[in-house]
Amino acid sequence: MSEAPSVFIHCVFFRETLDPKLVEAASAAASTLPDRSQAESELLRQLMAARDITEAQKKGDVNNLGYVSNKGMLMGWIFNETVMFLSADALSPSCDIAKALVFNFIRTSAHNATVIFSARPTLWDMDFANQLSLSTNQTPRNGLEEMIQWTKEGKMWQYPVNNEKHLEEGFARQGPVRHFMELVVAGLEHISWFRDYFHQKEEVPQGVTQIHEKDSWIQLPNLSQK
Amino acid sequence: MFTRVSVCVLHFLLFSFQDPTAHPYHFQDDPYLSPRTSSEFRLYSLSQESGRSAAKFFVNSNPKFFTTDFAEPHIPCLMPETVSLLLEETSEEALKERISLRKVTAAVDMYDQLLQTGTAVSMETTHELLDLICLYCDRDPVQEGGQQEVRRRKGRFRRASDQLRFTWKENCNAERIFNLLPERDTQCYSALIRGMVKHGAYAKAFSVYTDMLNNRVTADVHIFNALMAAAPDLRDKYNERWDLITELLNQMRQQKVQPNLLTFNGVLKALRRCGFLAKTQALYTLNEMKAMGIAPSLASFDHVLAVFSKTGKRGVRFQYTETSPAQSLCLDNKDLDLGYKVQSLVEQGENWRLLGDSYQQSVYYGRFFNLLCMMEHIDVVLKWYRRLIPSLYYPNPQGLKDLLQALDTDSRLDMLPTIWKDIRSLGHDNKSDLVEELLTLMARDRHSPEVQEAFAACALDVKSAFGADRGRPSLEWSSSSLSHITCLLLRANKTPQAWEMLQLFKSKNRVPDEGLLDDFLSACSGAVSPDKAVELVQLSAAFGLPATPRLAKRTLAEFNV
Repeated sequence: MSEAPSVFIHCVFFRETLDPKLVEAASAAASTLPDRSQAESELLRQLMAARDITEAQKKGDVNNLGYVSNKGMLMGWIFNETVMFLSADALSPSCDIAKALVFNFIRTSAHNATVIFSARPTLWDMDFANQLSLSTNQTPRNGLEEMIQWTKEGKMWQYPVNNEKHLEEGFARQGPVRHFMELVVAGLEHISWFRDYFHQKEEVPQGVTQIHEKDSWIQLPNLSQK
Repeated sequence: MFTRVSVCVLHFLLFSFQDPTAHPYHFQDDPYLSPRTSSEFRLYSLSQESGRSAAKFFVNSNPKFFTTDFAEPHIPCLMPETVSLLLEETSEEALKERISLRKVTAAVDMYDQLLQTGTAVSMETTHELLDLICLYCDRDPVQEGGQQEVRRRKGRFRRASDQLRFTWKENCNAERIFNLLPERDTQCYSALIRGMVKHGAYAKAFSVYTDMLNNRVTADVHIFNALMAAAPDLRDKYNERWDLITELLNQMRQQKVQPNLLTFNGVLKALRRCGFLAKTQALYTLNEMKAMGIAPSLASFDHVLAVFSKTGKRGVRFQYTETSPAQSLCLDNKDLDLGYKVQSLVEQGENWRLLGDSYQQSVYYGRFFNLLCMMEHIDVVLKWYRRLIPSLYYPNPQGLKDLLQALDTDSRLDMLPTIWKDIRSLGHDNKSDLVEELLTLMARDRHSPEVQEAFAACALDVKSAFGADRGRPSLEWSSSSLSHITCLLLRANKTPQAWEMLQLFKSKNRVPDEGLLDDFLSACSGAVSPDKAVELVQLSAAFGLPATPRLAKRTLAEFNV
């Protein structure tokens, strides 16, 4: 399978209404990329974001939106690093602008250029995007660039590390972990009692040590006499 | 909201460290293990890539050994790829699955089965199938390594195809399926023509296009772009090529197909092969693009620069340029300021990535360094030398000769021993013309005693480079190299070593020249060793030199023999 540039460009598609066919098609598109399941979840997340964008645009909330125009015609929106084309025309204009903009993105060093086409990208488009990315030099020059690349590929956690990433949806409510935590918390509530108890019992170990020392003290003179 | 991968902190750290002289990161950080020449660099990169591919291949072909998943959260790309087909029955769904997994032969088989059972296949799926077969030239795609090094083996052709070049076969599955279709629309023709052009069947592509016109099917922009790319290969004369292209453009207009950026880039690219016609037509093309509101891309500028670089016309304005041809343009024009501008662009941000793979990078830096050697003061040249070499550029012998020239021009010949060390470590110490040049420069004039001392030490080191058997073609002694080394040794009063050199003359059947023997005599008289002087005269006689009588007379005069 020819390796699609998962680091550089994710090719997604988008239609004006989000329907079940879209979801199915997203999984089909994702299957053409190397890391399938990750790409699929990413695609679906971005589709939802795209739907939110159009709703925001309908409401007139355009604070986070830049726009892309060609020949004075509004062709798409830029949201953070994602470019979306809402042109209904399935053929050349959107795809070619996308290609030109993809290369622009490469130039202006926005690594993660996610370009959403208004029609399904054909195999030729993906091949072109692949060739574009391969014509530039992608090897990392130092460890930091390598870490950036790996973070985008999903091999590394994001930095700064989020310790509670797996805790976001809620932590343990039942089971042995909860039970253990309850025990620990209960112990912590009575910690002063434990402190007093050990203070009281301090003489006992000291007494034992003194007896031992006396024993040995008695034995030593015996040895020296021999 | 969607969670975007955040690399801000890493980016910030990255831009705080910029060290162009750093050791290449992807190799082991050990002086013994790091590449010292460009060929070693390529070898090590290739071996790294092939190691990676081998590991990936092994993981994917034996998934049962790699089932343990340590990573939390799960990292899909490190696990074996499970690309087995799920759907086995003969259906359009199964066909679509095979297409999406890019299994060409399986898809063709499934399609044939569907035809046999009489099931209709939707037009959309047929289009996708045709696209698949045409793109991969009727073969299952091979998993390719990611880096350019793997593919650019020769590096001779700058525009070599990135994928393995397959040639289109007569009556391959694509054509067969195409001919079996009850009706063929634009997209079917498009797939076929694009595939034919991609895989070298240019004439066929044009004949399919003619069929298409005869069947009154309109073309799309992709068809025209493909035909434009194929046009220069179908005609030999410049004006015929250009005529073909204008013909295509006219037909585009007649069929009301809008050209796009790729169309114009295709025209410009074809113009590179249209000789004298190129310059005017390229400018017209650029104007057309502006009129249509299509912004030229980097590729457009690359083509235009290539068209103009022969005569070095600088009427072209560029914001960002393809760097290597730009640098060659500066070289042709001897325009140093422009060269610096280009270099500063390269150093900005991520632009260095545009330099491409290691071969193109070496071409670019080679030209830049050449420009510097020609135009700049030696101190600046040396500053750039230390900066670029060897972290970014392994100079070839020509580059080093340029450097030697620059040293000579600015009278910094005292740097020669240091440069010789670099020549050795770069592995160019077996290039005879380079070594001869070095020796000539060292031996040409007399210098201060310290410099002579350094030159003599260097000369001894150069001597050891001759005839050394290190498993690669080594240097052969010539009379000039022997003479120069001997002369340098004499000047630093290293007489014993100089005598050894004379023996070498004999064993290699080379004749020393008279000036050298005169110098020897002078050295002998300085050391007051009459026997040596006699030996010298005997040697001269053995060589049959015409100067022998004169030397004999001199010996008699200066020594008590």
